[in-house]
Amino acid sequence: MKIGKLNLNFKNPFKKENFINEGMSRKRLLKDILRNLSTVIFALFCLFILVYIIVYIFTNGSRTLSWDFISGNYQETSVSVRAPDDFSFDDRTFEFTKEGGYRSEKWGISFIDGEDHSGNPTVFIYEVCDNSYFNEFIDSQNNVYTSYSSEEYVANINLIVGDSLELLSDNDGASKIASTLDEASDVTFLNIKTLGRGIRGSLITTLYLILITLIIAVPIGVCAAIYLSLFAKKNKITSLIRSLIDMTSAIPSIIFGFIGALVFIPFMNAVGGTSGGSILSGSLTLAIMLIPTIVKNTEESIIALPKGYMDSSLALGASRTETVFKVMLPNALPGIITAIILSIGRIIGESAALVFAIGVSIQDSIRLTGSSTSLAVHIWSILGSENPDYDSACAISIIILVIVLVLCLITKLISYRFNKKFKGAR
Amino acid sequence: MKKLSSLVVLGLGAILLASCGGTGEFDSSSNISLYSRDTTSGTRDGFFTTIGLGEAKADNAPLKTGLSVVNSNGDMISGLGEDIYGIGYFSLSSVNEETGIAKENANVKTIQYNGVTPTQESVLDGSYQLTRNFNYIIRSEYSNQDVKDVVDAFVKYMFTQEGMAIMVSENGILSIDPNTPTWDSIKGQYPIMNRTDLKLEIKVGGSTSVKDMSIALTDAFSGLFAEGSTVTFNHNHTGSGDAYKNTQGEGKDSATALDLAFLSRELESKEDAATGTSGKMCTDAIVVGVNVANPITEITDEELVSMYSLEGTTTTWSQVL
Repeated sequence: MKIGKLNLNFKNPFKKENFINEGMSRKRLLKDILRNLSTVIFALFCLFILVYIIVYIFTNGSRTLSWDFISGNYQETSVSVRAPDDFSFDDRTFEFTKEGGYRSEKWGISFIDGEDHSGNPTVFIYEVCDNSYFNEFIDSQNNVYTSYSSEEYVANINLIVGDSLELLSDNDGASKIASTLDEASDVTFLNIKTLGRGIRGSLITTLYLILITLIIAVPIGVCAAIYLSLFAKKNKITSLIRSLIDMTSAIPSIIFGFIGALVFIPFMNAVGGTSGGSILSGSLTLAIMLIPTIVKNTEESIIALPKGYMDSSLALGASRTETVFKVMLPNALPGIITAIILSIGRIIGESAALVFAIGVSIQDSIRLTGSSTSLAVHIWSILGSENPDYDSACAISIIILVIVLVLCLITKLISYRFNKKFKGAR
Repeated sequence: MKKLSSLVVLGLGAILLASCGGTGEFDSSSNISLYSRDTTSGTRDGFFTTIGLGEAKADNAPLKTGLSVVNSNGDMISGLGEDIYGIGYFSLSSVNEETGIAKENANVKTIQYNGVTPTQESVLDGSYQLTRNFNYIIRSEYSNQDVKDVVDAFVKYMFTQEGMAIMVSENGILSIDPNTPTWDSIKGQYPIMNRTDLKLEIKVGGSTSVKDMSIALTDAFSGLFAEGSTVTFNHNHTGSGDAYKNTQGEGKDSATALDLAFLSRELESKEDAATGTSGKMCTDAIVVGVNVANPITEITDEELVSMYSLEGTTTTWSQVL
């Protein structure tokens, strides 16, 4: 076979020159075609999966993604009201201003069918007339409740019809609720709710986690990297430490997770007065997990600095310490920033460790010592319920994907500029 | 060559799309593919106990090998949606009762059990027997008296007209006595509800099947406190197996300790709850589900035992169709 004649331009794997050589048998030719074909098929397979995932997430998530979703509460706010004890009908009449909806002429309220965020049918309050009996209803503290809005839906309504108690809910539909109200003599319980499932709490928790984890991990990691790369002697012990750090970065996060649950949760309970998992215990766990990444990246960027920097600084009379902190460290900054950005990406995407170290309970009011959960675990949590909410999982995935994409681009930009800067000096 | 590569793309896309579809021709000579929940599940406990294979409620050994074990109702339904020869079980609350199709997956249908269609009515009149109870359990001792008072009030709230209405709307099955008290008539017994300085976090957990119902209950209940107080209910549902364990069992003082927990099965004899700390909330039906491509419409408890049990002889769909 004349290798010298072989055309190695593989850009088009089906190009004749790639397999046809002088005197090639049919069998060999067929084998070559199959080999080349398999490379194309697998490349397309990878592409297909990637595109499929992204298209799936975006088509399902984009319907849900909105400012309300990002800034809203997860918990549904719920108000329980009822007719006052001395309630009785008088001869008032009602004027409805809105067309449509199912009206109860007896009570002066109308309802309309709608859907909640998971697509289940629910019944929204459509209009409450100004002089409606509903505006005389009292809440659990016996205060008159008048702040009905069309954002609210009727989760439950208990009515006295004749002598019997009728329990209706949003499953029954607007028309049934309105018609049963017209027969009812009393409303003993009206549970009105606003839709929840916003992710504000988990978003804030994620930001807190990033901040606190970095406050703990960056100083430790950077100092360790400086010591290892600039001060430590090159001997067996330092190389052992270095390989240990390398090994730590390969430990699966689930192991950090249960270490976090066994060590940091009791530690924070004793020191910080928390009970159970908290943002603090989660941050400590993540910090331990990320220190190896930060050490490794910082060390590499220090080692990558041109050798002349150290020598020139020393030759100019600066002490070794001054050289390290005033020359080497500022120049290694892009590497440190890259490490920080990689860490942020890891914190946002981490779920296995946090399931144990924080917990999976989704909260709206976030305290550092309280339990709440990050965006990734939020997905885990909502998919674990009886009727999983795939749409909001996809919407959260979009947010996570976009953040990670932006962080990736920033990292690429920084390393590009870093490399350009030292191109000549190396 | 361009033609060839576009053909490859088309062919590949077609194969992938076909494999995503899930439904196809049903061949009744095929093997039954069995699905079950994991051993901590209360749904599993209720299912195997009722069909008469109680020894399998927390143990995979008495079951056929090759069984797929899934960790949640959602996984069960999506598994059955993809597998046209699959059979499994999940809660009636995941089913649209009018059509008998799972709410989240149009490829999964429910079938009659011993000749009865699963609905709220057939459970209430006793004709549908594949059911289990939802139960609650609280701690026998609390380190904070306020938490104890709130939990006690909550337990009473569950059994008022308001609480029961919420359970019913969350697909719990129960019949309400017209003499059931309203919350307003009994709230005077709970002075904790009038406090204006409460800052409490109540840890709630246990069964994943009871999660949605318990969230609806605590959402409504947390709105009943006087202004100034914030009582948040922190839901962390991990399975019925953790309900006793983290309230009165070995985990009661651990990081995962709970103040209030729910079970979708009965307490076991080894779960020795203190008197007055546990009780039944409502009933839930377990439904047998299969892929919509499957022509089967009903199944009996004996057929199910024969399918799932290691000793059973039913291995292909033609044996039960």
